[in-house]
Amino acid sequence: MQLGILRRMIPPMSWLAVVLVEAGLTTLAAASVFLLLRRRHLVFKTVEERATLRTLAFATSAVSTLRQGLTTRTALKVLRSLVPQSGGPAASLYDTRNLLGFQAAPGSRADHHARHVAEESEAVQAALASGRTRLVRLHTQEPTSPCPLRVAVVAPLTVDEQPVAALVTYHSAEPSPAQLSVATDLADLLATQLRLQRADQQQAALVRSELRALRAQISPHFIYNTLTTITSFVRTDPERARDLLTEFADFSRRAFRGPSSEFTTLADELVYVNQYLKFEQARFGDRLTVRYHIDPEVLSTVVPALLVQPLVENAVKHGIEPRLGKGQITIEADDQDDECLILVRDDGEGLEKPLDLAEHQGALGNIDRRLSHIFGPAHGLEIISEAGKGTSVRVRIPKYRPGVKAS
Amino acid sequence: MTTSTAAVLGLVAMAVVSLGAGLFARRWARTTSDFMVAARAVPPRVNAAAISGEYLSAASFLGIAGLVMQFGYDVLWYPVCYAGGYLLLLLFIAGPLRRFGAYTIPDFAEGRFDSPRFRRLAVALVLVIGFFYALPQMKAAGLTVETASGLPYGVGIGIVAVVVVAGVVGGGMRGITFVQSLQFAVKLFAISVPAFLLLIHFSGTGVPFARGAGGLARLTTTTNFQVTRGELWQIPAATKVHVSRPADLRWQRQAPTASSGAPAAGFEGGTGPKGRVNASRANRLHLEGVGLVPKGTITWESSDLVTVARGQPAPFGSQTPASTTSAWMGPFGPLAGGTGHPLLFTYSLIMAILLGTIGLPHILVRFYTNPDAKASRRTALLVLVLLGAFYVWPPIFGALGRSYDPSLYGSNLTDAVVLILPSQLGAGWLGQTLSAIVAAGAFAAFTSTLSGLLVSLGGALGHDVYGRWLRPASGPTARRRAFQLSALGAGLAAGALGLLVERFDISVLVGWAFAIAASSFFPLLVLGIWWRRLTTLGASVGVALGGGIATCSIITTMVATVSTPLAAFLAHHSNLAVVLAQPAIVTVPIAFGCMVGISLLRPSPSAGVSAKMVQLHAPELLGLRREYIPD
Repeated sequence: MQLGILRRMIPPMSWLAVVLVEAGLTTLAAASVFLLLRRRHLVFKTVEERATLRTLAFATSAVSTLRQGLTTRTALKVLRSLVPQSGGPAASLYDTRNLLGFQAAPGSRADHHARHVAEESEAVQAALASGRTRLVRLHTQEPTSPCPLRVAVVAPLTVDEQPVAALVTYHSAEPSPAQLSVATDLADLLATQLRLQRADQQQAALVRSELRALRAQISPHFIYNTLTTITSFVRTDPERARDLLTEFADFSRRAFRGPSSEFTTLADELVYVNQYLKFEQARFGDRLTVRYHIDPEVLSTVVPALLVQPLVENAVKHGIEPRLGKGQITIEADDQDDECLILVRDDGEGLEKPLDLAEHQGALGNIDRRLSHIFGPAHGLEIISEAGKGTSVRVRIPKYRPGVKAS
Repeated sequence: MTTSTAAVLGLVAMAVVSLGAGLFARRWARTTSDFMVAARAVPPRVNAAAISGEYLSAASFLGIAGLVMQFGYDVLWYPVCYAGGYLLLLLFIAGPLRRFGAYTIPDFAEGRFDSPRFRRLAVALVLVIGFFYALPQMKAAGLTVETASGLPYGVGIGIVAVVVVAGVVGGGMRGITFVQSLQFAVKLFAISVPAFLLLIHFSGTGVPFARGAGGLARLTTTTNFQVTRGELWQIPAATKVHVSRPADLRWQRQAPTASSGAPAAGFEGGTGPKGRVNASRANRLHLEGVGLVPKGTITWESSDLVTVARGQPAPFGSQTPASTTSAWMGPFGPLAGGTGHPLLFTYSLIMAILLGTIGLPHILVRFYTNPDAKASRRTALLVLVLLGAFYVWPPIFGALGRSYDPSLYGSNLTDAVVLILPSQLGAGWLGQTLSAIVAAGAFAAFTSTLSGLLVSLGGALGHDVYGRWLRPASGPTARRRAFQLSALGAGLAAGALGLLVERFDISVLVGWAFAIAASSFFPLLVLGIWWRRLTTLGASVGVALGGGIATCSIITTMVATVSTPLAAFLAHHSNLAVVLAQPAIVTVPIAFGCMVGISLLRPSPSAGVSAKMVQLHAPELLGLRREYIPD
């Protein structure tokens, strides 16, 4: 019976047709995909064009590699693509203390030099100290050594006028002036990448420090106000005073813990806001009402830490506090296709004149800068304010952005 | 009040309830936000109901019952695999994808491979799959409105397209979790209660369930058929018919073949290319008053009102192969057997549906609502349970249809069996109420899936095609407007295309969307999540080839229904016809093979793949994700 089924399934000729047609389709589609994905620069023809292209490719790969910092791993990776550019048979990289990596061109018989690289280390230290390129003659003690590396050019890499590393290129004979200038140019190129890496680090550090500053900004007024509020309850409503005090301990632990991470989920952020508002509601009594409107679909969206709470605090400070009457704060999170729209609105005094966020030193400017840094300039704060009617601040957070994740 | 008025009322009521639920969900979100904030998440059971609600489309509510009635046993693979796909999702995808944080499949493609270019490819496939999935929903919409109110098919599609597009464009997807979970409840209620009551009702009629005397489906009531000129009937056994006026007809002993007018394999009524073009003599018959039509195929030469008495064998229309009950109840029956390669066809179908579930763009986005991987897996498990509870009922409807209303075969209305069967209870209050309930359920089925699809299509067109490629600098308002226009355009386009697919089975059309998803996104997700050496080149070639070939095959099959030479060619190469109509068994291995092969041949370790693997697989509680893992 099995055989019967099989025989019915496979009349040989028409199977051939199937295989041919599918193979044809596959080849056709594969060819078109390859054509689509093929790098355009394969059309470069002349030797010069290809050389230029190789140099450019090297520069690009060095950028991405060294931007991760100077380590043994990145040093080796850079050297591998650098040696063919240097014009010599080998090259090595030192940081201020140690050799990070040595790389010889394939088939150059220079490999064994790796065993006595220490020979030039003195010159490296000298070059790093002086910040100037040095020339070292190798194997002067044993002129019969089989090592083909006779001269080393030590070029320091200077970042912010501080030599931070040295590039050593080796040559089998006295280097020509052209070869010398290639060596220093390569060192300059690498130094530029290290400068960029440092700039990246500084940028990230800046964002982190702004985050820390933001946490610190909560403290003085708020602690004073909250403690005063709690004091006022101690006699009239001791139960509530105790609750608030417990909450406050919890809240401040969270606030002072420092920036544990740059991102959090909207749900966590809202819990934090909710806690914060409890104290403000205790302080203002029925003068302050809060309306939430949260689409549950966006609770798991990853947002920058301390995004909503400063907006709410701002609304309390400028929308509710200066007024005598009652005020309302609305917190909305809307599920809009591939974005989450967060809105914090008060019905207070509003702004007299539009805010210049770029120059703003307070919480709003800080949040705006962080958002633009993470999601791009199109995702900053939008502030709509009308004198006497209130202010609303809107933020749009993409539901997913590579690299943005809560921890 | 007739049953059809009741059904129309059911439709209108469901539309009102859906809109009302949307509004209520907004208020609910407002009043329970404190609670939401405290709970920090939508509970998995609510989310699972919402996902099931969005997933249970017209193919599940109407299509399966219709296909079971037509083809019997083989069709049971559809509900089994529709639900079973979630097992694979639970095992391989749900947890890691949630940890990764991706919202859409293009998000995952871009994030895993750091390639905006690859994202474009993924977006293109989202569009293809979305459209293929939207067509059968449109057909269901046309069919439901037609059955309920008698309005023409096209008008029904128009009405539903306008309602759904208005909902999506006007922000009707708000509170979607709540609305969709409500719709799941409606669908489960609307299919189980009528099926249960019908079972009780029919068990009292004395007709044996799913059997019929002599192995044939026999009419349970005397039935009038309105036949038109050129209409084709298959007569499984000599049948006594009564014509209202003298009629001429042509009679053939054999079943028709693909080249002589009936559709090719894989289509409704696919009697398959198995039969050779035969030269059997076409006899002419003349009927006046009551006459006996012998076994074979007849073609009516004039329009007529034909009455077939109770107890006579049911005639079969052009869309269903005439089958005996034993063939209908066994494996490799008319559906798979009709193709000539039952085993191949069945395995290909199983692969397409089982694996395709994972690649449906509008389903994976719903898992984003889960707070973490654990909740995500729990949701997938609950979806499996909820779908299991639902999928018991459509096959029962199909079997009831064959036993108790086989006249639907003759009038080619098997797809509407869920809608029509309740009217068998008579025009009393029970029949009317049940008609209204099933109409409401069908409305819930196609509107919920259509809305989800239009959001996915609109998002892909408006945010990706417009917002990223055409006008990368566009502001939020422009992008929002682009989304709305795209959703509008996609809805209208799907409606227009829906007019063309009336002759295809709902579930067959849906099966095609699954086949494309199975041959493109399934390998991408599985290998992308579980194999660190997958390269961007390998993944993109695999996705393009798998998805591309599957799409081409299916389009070829569709073209074959209108192109006679192509149909004749396919009739000759039946195995080619099978893999073209049901391509998963070829295209899934092609996609996997390309991905693995190219990745091994041209390895290019992408930066940060270790960090991504940790992000995908390390449990959240370990807190590993912040640390930098060097390659």
